[in-house]
Amino acid sequence: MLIYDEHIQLCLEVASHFRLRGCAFDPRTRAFPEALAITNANGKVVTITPKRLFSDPGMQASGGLFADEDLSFDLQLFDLFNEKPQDVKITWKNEHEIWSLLESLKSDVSQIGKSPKIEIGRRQLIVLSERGDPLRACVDRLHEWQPNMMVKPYTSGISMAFMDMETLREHEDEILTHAESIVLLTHEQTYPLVMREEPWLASSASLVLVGETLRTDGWLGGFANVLSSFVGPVADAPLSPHLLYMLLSHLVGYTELFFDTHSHADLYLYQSGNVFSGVDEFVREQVQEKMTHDIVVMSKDRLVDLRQAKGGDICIVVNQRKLSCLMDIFGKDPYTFLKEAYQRGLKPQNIVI
Amino acid sequence: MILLISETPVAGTVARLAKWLGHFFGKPCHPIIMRNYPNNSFRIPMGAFSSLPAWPDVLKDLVERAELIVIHNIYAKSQANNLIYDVVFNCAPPKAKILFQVHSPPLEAPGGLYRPLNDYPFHGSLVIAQGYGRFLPEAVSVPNVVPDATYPFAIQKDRTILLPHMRSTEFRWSGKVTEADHHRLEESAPFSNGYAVTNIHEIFGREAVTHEEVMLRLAATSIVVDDINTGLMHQTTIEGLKTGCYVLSGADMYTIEQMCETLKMDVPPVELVSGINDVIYHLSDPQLDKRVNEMREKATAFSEEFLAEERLARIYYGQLKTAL
Repeated sequence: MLIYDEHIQLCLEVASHFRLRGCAFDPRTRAFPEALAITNANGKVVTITPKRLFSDPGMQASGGLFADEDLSFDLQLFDLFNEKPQDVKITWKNEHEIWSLLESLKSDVSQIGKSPKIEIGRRQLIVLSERGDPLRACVDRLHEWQPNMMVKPYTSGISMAFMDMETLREHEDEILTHAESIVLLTHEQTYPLVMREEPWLASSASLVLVGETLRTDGWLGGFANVLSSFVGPVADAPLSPHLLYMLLSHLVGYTELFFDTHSHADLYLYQSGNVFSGVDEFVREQVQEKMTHDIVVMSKDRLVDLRQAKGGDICIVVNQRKLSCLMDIFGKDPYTFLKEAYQRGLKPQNIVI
Repeated sequence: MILLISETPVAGTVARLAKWLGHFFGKPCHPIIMRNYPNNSFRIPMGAFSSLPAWPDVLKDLVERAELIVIHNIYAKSQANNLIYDVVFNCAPPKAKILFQVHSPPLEAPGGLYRPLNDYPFHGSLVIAQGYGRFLPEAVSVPNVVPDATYPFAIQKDRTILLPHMRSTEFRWSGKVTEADHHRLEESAPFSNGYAVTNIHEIFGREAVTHEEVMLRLAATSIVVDDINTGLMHQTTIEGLKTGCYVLSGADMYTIEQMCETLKMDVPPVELVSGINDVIYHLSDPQLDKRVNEMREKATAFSEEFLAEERLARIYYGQLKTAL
């Protein structure tokens, strides 16, 4: 959420009783506001000092702030106050209150309404459904069940939007330019419409097709396979309010895995194979040179046939960004892992050392 | 009796398969092709089936006598397609086997989500052994039966690089050679050792051309660039090898494995590339002529050993029987 005070600009991405994550800017000093502080209900004050700051270009850009300066903070409130605070306020120069958690919760109570307030943020979870769609019935059922369930302060800062195609079109620019989006839609009703009318969505968001099963989603890069593996056996059941709830709560529960994938540094994780001589040095060099491949298969000879992965000197590393598409098969042997990666539409890169 | 049913000629595949399956099964095999592409770009042996005023009745009569029915690539939910599925699944004899052959990638037209495979109780499914197995791992892999071409006259190879893919999109499986790739190739033309880039539209003045037309032009072409981006292989590579061309292909490890296992053959003699930079690197190599000659010889020998039409058809027949 964006807060424009008369003195400073503040953007909060996660705001709960446990965590505050956001960024702030003082237009007069063109830097992070001096003496910006957090206060709990007992009046204890903790100032956000420069050593707590870092740069989160994505979040800062979405808040309209300079991307490359240290303007962001991520605070664990229990650690700061040694208790779960009843309320948290952000104050400036000890006197001027800019924001309060309790006030914020009061104003954000109904996001899954019959006329839902559509919240657009940097990390966006969209449930796309049309009238008469089984997914719409599930959304309505969730709303009746617990209207406050998906309020942003409780969803790790993920913005939830329940919308139809027409509303999606209205927000196309925001989703394309700022948001890292995951879109849930049905493969019977909505997906054909998206492919016909809004093909940009498939390349700018991670799509999760729900319907009779999640099985066919492997073609969409494996995202749904990983999600299913977290959700468990219920993921194979037909679409129901319960399944939708499970999908949404796992997506917001594993935020670091499913979101923020583009902002991760290119950290390569060992997947399988022999770490033969030169592999360590090669990976280090490549990371320094900003190598961005998703899956790298290093080998002494060029690999042209997948069967070559069954033996010999090969070593597979995976870019951390792609864990959201591969985590469920991470322990597999090189051949099985690569075969599955290909079946998910990914492109492993072979590099001869 | 065997029936092969399709909405379009599927680039001539259905008519070719009908000829060979009839031969190997020793039974009549009829290709039922509903309509032609625009410009009637493929010859349909019995004409467009949907032009018959009472085609559903004729289809019903055929289906009732069929032992094996293979439906090729029918996805769209049109009234005619629904009628085909209704007739096939309601009128086929209980002992008849019904298979589906996939020719297109998923999530893109016309394949979409392979809905018919979920909606109807097929006995099995077939996929082309050019990397398409990744879309349906449970399907039986079958070769693309590409016809041989012999000519009663000598054909000289010229110094052309043919890019036969006309329809290219930004989608994952259709971006075979993108607009940007075409542009890069044209830019690098002065460094391509005197080889000139051309395409189907430049040669024929239209976009849809038959297999026979392509084969004749390929016989006079030195270098062919197949799909260099998606990892799949297309008929172009097989046509290029059969006409003794130097073929550049972006086929990935999955595609090569599926193809070699199904066709029981070695790795095909194509220049495996990963993107346009690799293509330009090979075309600007000062040793290109030597490489072209070497690979052309290998292509000719390889095609004679592994890609003869009858051999491909026999493997198709064998694989089809495993799906029954």
